Amino acid sequence: QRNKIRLINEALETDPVDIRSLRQFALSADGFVNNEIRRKVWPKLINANTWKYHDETSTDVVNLYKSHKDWMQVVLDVDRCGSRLPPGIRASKRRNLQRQLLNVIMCVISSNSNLHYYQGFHDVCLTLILSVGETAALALANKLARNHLRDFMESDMINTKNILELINPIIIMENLQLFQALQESNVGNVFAISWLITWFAHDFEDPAISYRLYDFFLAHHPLMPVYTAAAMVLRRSEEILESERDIGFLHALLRRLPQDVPVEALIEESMALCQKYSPTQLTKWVKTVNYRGQ
Amino acid sequence: MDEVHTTKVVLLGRTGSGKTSLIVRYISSVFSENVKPTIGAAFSKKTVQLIHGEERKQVVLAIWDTAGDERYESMAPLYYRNSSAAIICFDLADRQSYNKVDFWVKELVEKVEQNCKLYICGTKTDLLAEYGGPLKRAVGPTEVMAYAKKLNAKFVETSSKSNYGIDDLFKLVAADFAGFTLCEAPPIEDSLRLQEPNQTDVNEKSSCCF
Repeated sequence: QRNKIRLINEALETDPVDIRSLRQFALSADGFVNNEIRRKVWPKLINANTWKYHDETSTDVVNLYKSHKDWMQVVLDVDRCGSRLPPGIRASKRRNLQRQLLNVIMCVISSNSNLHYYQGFHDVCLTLILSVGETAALALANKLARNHLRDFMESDMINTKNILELINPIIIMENLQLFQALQESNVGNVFAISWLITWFAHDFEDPAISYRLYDFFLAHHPLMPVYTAAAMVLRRSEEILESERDIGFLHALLRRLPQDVPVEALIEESMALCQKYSPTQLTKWVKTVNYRGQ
Repeated sequence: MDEVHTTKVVLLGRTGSGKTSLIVRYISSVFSENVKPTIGAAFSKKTVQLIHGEERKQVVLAIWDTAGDERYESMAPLYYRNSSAAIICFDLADRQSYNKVDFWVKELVEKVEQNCKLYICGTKTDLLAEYGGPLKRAVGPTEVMAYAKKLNAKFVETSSKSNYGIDDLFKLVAADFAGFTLCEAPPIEDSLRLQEPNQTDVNEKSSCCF
């Protein structure tokens, strides 16, 4: 690990930054190892420049935020993020994190008037804040909202649904029997929606798993979460095939992620699927997709 | 052997109206202040035993919890389609939450073909001043009752925090579905309080039914 940290730092110090090596480090065990390194690496991976943000203590900014159409929804979601904060956290620390979360979200959506807030974007922002702190989180959230998560921030759900559809061809190619079982039950793919729009942060209780997945997603193709979603379904094929073909039962089963998933194996499987079926191939298969990511 | 019937129930309502808390209380008998927003939809299932004289029935409630975020409204038909009951929730202390009820009622009346019974559920009674809470009712009960009566819907009030009215609500849904009538069933006007807080279970109060 110490050796890996040294190599990561070397890649960071190269001019220009050695992104190719960093992408490789995201694939090997433990990714970027700790949050101190993540704070340096993550912004480089997606070219997120530190971003000047609004002074939330100024009356003008407060008014700007409060007049935003999504203000009430954001406040409500920030209020309800308690279960994702470290257990036993002090009340003052908790309030401070919630203030940061509110500010990061409002700053991003009020600076990008073409973007629409969705429930789950708060999970992304909170994961970023908890791992790399408010300043880096803001830069990252702003960049992700405009790129990787852009399709989820439309005024409607059409693109979100189209991206969900991309899971299907992977499952068809890898395990037709499994796909048929899913079809038979009519379960659709709504169970995976939070996986894609929050990069699994809404679903894994252990934040370390989310940080590790974010290492991977930030370093690779914006559609990578689709491959991870497919890998997740595929690795549970036995369980699915043995269960009753009931829409509700399967929806609940799939939506509840195994919290002890071996995350390194999941990452390897996702990467292998991505190499086997390229994002271009996938989008060609699902003709309706109008993907606007990077 | 008891007859077993399965029926689909959907919960709808504005974001933060307490849909998930209601279900979590009903299924797992717990309450948390930190319930995460529902992204997409969630499913759970519970069996209700109905006894009416010699007749016994088991009703399996297949319950779909939906996202309150307006962005997900286009997905709602997946969950209310083929439902025999829709529970439309609103926060009793939030007028905007109540205003959303009519949106869902109209959507269901317009788009649902089968007979779907409507239940209008005012949530979070524990927050109201009359129950010792800090807030005022955002809408008078008579207004809601009149509205419900016009729709032939039932109006109930619940608190997931103090476990008030929740079992009753789902038993009512199951009984309506099975065609059982609650004996001494309160007329709609009185159904506001199916059960006083902290009182014994409705099973004992109307023993001939459940």
